Amino acid sequence: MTLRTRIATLAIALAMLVATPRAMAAEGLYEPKQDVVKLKDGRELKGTIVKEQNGYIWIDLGVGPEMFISPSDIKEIVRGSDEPIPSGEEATEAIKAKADKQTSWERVPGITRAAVITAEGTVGMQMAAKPLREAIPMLKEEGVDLVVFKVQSGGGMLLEIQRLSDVLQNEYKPQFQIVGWIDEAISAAAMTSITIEELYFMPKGSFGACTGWFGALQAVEGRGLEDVLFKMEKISARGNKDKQIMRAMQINEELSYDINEQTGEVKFYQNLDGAHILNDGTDILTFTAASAQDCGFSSGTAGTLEELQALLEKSVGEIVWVGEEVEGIPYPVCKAEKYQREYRKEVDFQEKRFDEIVTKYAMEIQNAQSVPVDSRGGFLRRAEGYLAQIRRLHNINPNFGLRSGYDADWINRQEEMIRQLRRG
Amino acid sequence: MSNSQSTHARLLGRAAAGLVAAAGLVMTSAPADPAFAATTLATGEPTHELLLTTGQTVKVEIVKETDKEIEVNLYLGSMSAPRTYQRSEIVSITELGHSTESAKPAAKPDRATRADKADDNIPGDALRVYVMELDGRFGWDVSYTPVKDAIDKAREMKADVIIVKCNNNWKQLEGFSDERTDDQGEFEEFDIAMKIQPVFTSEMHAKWQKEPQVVFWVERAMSGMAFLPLIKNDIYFTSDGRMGGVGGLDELFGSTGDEVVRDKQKSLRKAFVEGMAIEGGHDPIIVRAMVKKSMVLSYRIENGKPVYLEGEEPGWTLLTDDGKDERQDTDSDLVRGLGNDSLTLNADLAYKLQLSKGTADTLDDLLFQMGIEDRAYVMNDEDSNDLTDAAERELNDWSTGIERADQKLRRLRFDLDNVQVREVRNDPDGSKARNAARGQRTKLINEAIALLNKYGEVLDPGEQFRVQLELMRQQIENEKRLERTRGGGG
Repeated sequence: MTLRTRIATLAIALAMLVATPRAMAAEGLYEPKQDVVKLKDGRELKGTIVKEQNGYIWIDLGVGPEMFISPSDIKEIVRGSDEPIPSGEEATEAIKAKADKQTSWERVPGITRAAVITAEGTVGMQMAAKPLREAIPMLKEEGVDLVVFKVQSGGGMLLEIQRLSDVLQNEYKPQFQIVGWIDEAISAAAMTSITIEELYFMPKGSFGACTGWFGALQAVEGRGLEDVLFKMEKISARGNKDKQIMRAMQINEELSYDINEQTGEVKFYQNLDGAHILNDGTDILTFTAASAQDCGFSSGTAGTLEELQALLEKSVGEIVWVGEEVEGIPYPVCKAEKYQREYRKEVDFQEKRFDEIVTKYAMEIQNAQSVPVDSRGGFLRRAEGYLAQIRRLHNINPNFGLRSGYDADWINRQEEMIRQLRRG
Repeated sequence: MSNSQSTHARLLGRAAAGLVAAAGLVMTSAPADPAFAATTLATGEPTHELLLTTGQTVKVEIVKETDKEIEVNLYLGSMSAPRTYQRSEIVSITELGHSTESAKPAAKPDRATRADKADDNIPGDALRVYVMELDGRFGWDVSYTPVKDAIDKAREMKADVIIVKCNNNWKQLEGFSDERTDDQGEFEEFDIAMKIQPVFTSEMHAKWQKEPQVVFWVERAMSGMAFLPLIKNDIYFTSDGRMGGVGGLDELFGSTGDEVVRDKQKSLRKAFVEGMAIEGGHDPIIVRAMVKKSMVLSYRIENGKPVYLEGEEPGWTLLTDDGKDERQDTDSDLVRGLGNDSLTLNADLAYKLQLSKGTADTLDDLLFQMGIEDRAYVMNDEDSNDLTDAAERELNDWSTGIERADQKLRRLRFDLDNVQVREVRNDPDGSKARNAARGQRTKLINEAIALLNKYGEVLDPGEQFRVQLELMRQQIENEKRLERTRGGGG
């Protein structure tokens, strides 16, 4: 234990002593067998840890539902419970069983239970298929019928588009009605969101600019480009969108449209024959709320949840929003949304520090290499600590370090190298 | 105070940042037996905010100061506790100068408390008007945090109307009256406006039970600041007001990379700024003319409303030409503010295009133009400068703080580069001297990180400097450990 850790532990212990009257201790208000999760913000949560997965903790505080805690918030866990902590499916089942007992909602015929899930950040990092897939049981648990995906992303990794589209198409659509609510869907975020048939825009919403690129603004060309163009034709079809629209968002391709005054039907042309021009061929298309609505790409514009509800209720009838009111968040936060927010927070935190951790790891390896074998122990232990952090990041999101080559193979090679350094 | 209690207090000061919060937990959940702990229910209120080397900020009332230390009452929630900080633990001290929510009526009054008292006399049917001015450098003095803090203050004060005067620094040189020309603005500052705008849109939807009317009053909204007023429908100008200087979209990225990728980058940016206009209920074509020099835009008034034409025809008034060949703005046009390659709005034009609802040079005029002069009550304006004092404090404190932080960071960088290993007595292998120098460097690094924790959004937006410092700190630790391992002492 380092001096700092000792001081920290001692200070917390002393703080507790000072603050806790002997009378309270005598009354047994502090259960000696409870687990204690010490958070970085100074709070200490006492209860029973009922599930642990990838560093995430679910703790039963004795009142209300289990509290979900992200590893980035945890400073220390002091285990007091004698009971083994379930993990994986066993834990999920246990939580499900308890949640079923605690279900406080009741299905009312004719009322649609709707929830907002936010898809934000970099596609492939914060906005990824994994947390969306993991949110499905939570949505089912809360009896959600309609999922609103509120999208705010400036794009990201090409490789995640298909995964995200598949989750939406194959896992969400069969179980829920889904709609998109576009705040900002640029590049990979637009290429994902176009899977959804029914899209609404926020007034400042934007959607498009899907040109693939790398390095110093180099365009993806040749087979790679054709591959993405074809992929997007198929994904556009999933969302019942004319494939020419996405094409004008990817390359300098003309796009115009006509509106049939009698039927309101919109017909797109990959040329400038239409009365309304979206791309004259010298530009890349990005929709605003106004241009998207004019051509029927957007089903409507809503700046607030109330406005969105009014639009949605025209087709689905009365809506009740699932989730808790949280100060500072303009829509109720359901369990699935809470999970998305925690996931993003964690990825965001770790992403900013990923390079730092890798560099610190390299420093420890260098240190170990610079001293005799029998003095390497401390350096290698710390190196292993950093490597464990890198591995944990891969478990949270396999895309961590992908671009820099710090993938699972690299981790395995490093583990082998540490073993060799230890042997000398 | 008992020994254990004083030990507790001392340890709290030395422990890491999180421990202050831990103490907060303890203090706020402490039993109501004042004799039991050092903490007591607060009877006074914090007067200063300390930024500590740990990165933590704490609210305190200063009791006694010496050259080496400061005795304070530390405030956490409704509790306070005596505490002594070494000067070396403190990065900066900011005077609060206003009451906090926890202040009791019996607490000693300060400016804001007295002002609140005055505000208590506001008639029930009056409109509570909060006036703030975004002046100084956009992206420096005007940044997300101070604007958010000022708006949070407006919420605490239950404002019905928030008037945001836009007056960013557009001077050629500090202290001179000559202003920069429209082509000297930077389109890319739109990014700063994008970061600030949620304060007036989504965050306002989320935080306010009844959203206030937000009115932008434009004196200088140049470069990135030009986009900010667009997010609201209520825009007024001063008679010499100007908004624009953002016509650089076409030239963005120069010849870097492939054209189609540059087109993509320009397209998404154009959509962002057009979206801001749509949010405010304005015609996005105006923004397009502001940002694209190649756009030709004309207008005329039909049935009292402006109608736009992309192009040029007889009977229409040309707003912007395509800026090509002989139509390119000359230096003579530019220095006189007469260029028309991209659109910069003045008070008259903005009013004609119905982007501005009126022109007002004083707050009274503005309230009159808004039609609320008989019901408006400008809150918390003790110095009668037509600005709400609380807003001024929030914005000025930030400006002062960031200026100092910038200077201090430069000094810290210099000091860090110049830490010397000085000889120490009884130190045959020099390890004590080296460790002393390492300790000094670590202290400087900690101070720099503390400043970046507070002002990083402006001084280190990509966090590269903070990461660099973290690595330097780690390297120092490694040096110490390596020296110990190699038997070099320490």
